[in-house]
Amino acid sequence: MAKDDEQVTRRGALECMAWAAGGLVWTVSGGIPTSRLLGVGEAHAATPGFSFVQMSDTHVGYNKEANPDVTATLREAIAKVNGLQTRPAFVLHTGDVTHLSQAGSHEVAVDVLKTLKVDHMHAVPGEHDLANDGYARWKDLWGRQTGEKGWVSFDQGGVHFVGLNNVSERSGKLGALGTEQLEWLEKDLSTRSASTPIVVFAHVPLWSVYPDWGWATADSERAMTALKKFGSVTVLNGHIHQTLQKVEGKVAFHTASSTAFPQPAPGSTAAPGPMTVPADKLKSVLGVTQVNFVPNKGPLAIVDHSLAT
Amino acid sequence: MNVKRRTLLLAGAALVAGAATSKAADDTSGDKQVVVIDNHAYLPPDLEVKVGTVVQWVNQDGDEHDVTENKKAFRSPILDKGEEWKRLFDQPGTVEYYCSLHPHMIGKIRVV
Ligand SMILES: [Cu+2]
Ligand SMILES: [Fe+2]
Ligand SMILES: [Fe+2]
Repeated sequence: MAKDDEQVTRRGALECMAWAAGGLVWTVSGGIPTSRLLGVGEAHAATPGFSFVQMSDTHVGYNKEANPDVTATLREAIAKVNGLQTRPAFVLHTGDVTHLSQAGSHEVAVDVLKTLKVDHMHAVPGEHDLANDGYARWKDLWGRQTGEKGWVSFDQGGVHFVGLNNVSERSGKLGALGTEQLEWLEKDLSTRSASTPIVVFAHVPLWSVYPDWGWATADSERAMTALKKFGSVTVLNGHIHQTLQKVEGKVAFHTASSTAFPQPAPGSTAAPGPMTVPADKLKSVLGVTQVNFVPNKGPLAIVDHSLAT
Repeated sequence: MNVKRRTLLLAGAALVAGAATSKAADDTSGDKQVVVIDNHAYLPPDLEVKVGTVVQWVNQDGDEHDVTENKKAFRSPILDKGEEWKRLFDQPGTVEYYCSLHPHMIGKIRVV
């Protein structure tokens, strides 16, 4: 009986997903998002606006079979970002900066990430950043931009950005935002007008990708309720090391590739974890995500760049 | 290695908190039971042991995991493949735990 229920849930979750392969341009206009597949290349903003980049799951310190040199692929990802025709205003790092928060790994990550040609960077923590009592170190390096508790909000070019921490709290078998953070979020959003475009970023998906593997957030629904009034909401997550997208009403959910190693598609193997692909395929499953915003015209375009293109 | 040092620090913290039903077990006298970690799961996930048993977690998975008590009364170091960690359960009661890297991984030790 329980098994049947589980299978229904799995099937349901899989049906909701659209797989993104290669370059995907995702345009949100008037709250009705559409997507189209691109070949190689990037979307060009026709009028002044700004773009930013999402990087995720750099896992500095990982050195096993799935990618023995994650620093090298991180450098390639940075070269990709620095070579974008539209210079990004900043970078959002959606967590798992380091693999196990080993001594020195955060410092290595920061040193490498400093070579990004952007004005600033915001990071939210992933559960791997908290390993080995790593939160204190994570806070030292990132807390100033992100805030002591791993959550933050800021405005840029008419867009309101909210970074959330869903790896410090836990409820049932899932990570959670927790009451304190949810109350902060509700207060933060209450002062914004419904026409403000919102970008939310957090490590673990804020939508139910695959709870059996912990690929969901226990109390994300309360956060989504607080976001309901807005006409354009873009939710950017990491953690699952693959690009996935889902559109629900006026909310567009997107997960980014890792720059370190891929993970299996939800439910496709016995367990999640680093997935080894043939060496000549690795770069095609690693990448960064670029987001372009053009004021007044409303579009928010998301482009996934793999390291292979 | 610093694995051992961390075990000792955690034991110290548990004693200060005064809420532990188990202890870090550098001394392995008494009964011993094994929980295998593989494919992102603790096997068996629910283990009944007698008071005074040392439980040993052995990670056979390619991915790293740990053993974190639900209220963080204790936490093992991160265990890589082939690494193990043990703890003495010297009080009756149920101890629930999870993996701090993978919260969907849960287990319990029922001490009788
Ligand atoms: Cu684990
Ligand atoms: Fe990750
Ligand atoms: Fe993660």
